[in-house]
Amino acid sequence: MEEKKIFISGSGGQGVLLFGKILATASMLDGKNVTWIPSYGAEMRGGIVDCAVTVSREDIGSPLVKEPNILIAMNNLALEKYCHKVVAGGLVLANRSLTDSLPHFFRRDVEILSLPAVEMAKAASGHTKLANMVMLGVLCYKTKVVSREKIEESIYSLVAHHDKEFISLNLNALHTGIEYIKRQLYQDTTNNKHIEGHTYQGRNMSREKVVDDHTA
Amino acid sequence: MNQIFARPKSLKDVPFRYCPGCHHGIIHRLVAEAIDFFDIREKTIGVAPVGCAVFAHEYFNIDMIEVAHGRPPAAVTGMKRARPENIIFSYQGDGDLASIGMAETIHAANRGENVSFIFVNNAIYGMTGGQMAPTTLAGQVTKTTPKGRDTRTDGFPLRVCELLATLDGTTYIERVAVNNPVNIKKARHAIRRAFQMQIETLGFSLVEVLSACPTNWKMTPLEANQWIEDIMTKTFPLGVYKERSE
Repeated sequence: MEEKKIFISGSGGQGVLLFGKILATASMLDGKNVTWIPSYGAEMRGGIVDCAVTVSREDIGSPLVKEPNILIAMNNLALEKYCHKVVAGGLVLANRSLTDSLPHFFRRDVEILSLPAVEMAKAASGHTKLANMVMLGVLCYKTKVVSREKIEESIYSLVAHHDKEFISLNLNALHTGIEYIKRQLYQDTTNNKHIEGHTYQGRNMSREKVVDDHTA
Repeated sequence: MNQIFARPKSLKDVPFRYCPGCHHGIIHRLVAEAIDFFDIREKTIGVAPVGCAVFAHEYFNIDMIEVAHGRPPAAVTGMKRARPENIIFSYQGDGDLASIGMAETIHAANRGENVSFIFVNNAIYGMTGGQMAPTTLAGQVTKTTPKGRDTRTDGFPLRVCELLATLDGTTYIERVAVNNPVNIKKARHAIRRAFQMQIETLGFSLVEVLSACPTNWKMTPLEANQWIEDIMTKTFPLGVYKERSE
């Protein structure tokens, strides 16, 4: 497993930092080296929030992530600001509920997955603020950075215990994300999509491919 | 058709990023209206604080500088002495003015610098997450006083207007609030008066504005306004504490 440099960005209240913490904790439980570094503005509410998580088998030289291989953009500003920083061949997960630009036009050399995480969170748990967990589910199943079991373990340890109801809601949202990406990947393989002259079978996805999920 | 209401020229056409129910928005507006009223926008310089209003320079359409926490009184002293023809004001919260900057505040007031201070008092440290401030009320729950401020160990709320009124160097000191339209009207006049004092070179003026912080007080904006009315004004009574005419 190569070093994964994951960058999550959104606005205050979207759970960007918690996303990173759960991911980092899960990877730690999995025996990996991890770093987690937040960056947020002065505002008590809202504002821009970034979080960089690095997961590696080797020692990590610096927690700073200037060129992520994975970007999770929870809103439009995050997508527009950071999409160009993703390395070629990388992955972008965009929260379609809050992005109005068509992300496919930003880059042709990264894979861009755009999903309506807010609506999915609302359907799964009744709370729009669990969109971060939907995205986390998609991230983990798609990239296999860490297993679902380890994520669930770290949700149990990080989500407030006095809010036990929220632990199960977080899990619901997580599973919704996982089911979504499972369906997407299955659909791609069964449809045998033709893109740029390549036929896809199994899970082998070309790095040039742009995943279109208008069917979601 | 007559235009009877518009954004003050001294405010930029950008949305505020303050929390819902915060009174910074109202106070910014009143200050901008006062600057417009005297038509001094081109020669006014403001000093922004460290705190939630740290980006005040993004909202006010005048020359502004940012200084270290608590040091606006020193900066306004320097600027006013160098450029007496400019109108210089500072805009500070309770941490800035009454905690880390208490010495600067007292001495600028004591010297009777011909400047205007806008003091936003929300009885808490806002931007840093709701810790106790010097102005926190006795019994008030904050992040660092989870059982309420105990005056035996944590001291008493600091009354800046009363304190500065005792200094011979001060000219005009008033405490106002902006939690309802009646109080906003009085605050408008007080802030205007503070600028007028400077224009007429009558000396040091300070307007303390009781301000809501619903986020850190853990109240809704309406509850916060009511709390100012019912509780906060008991510790910090509104009114004029000093007004010298020369």
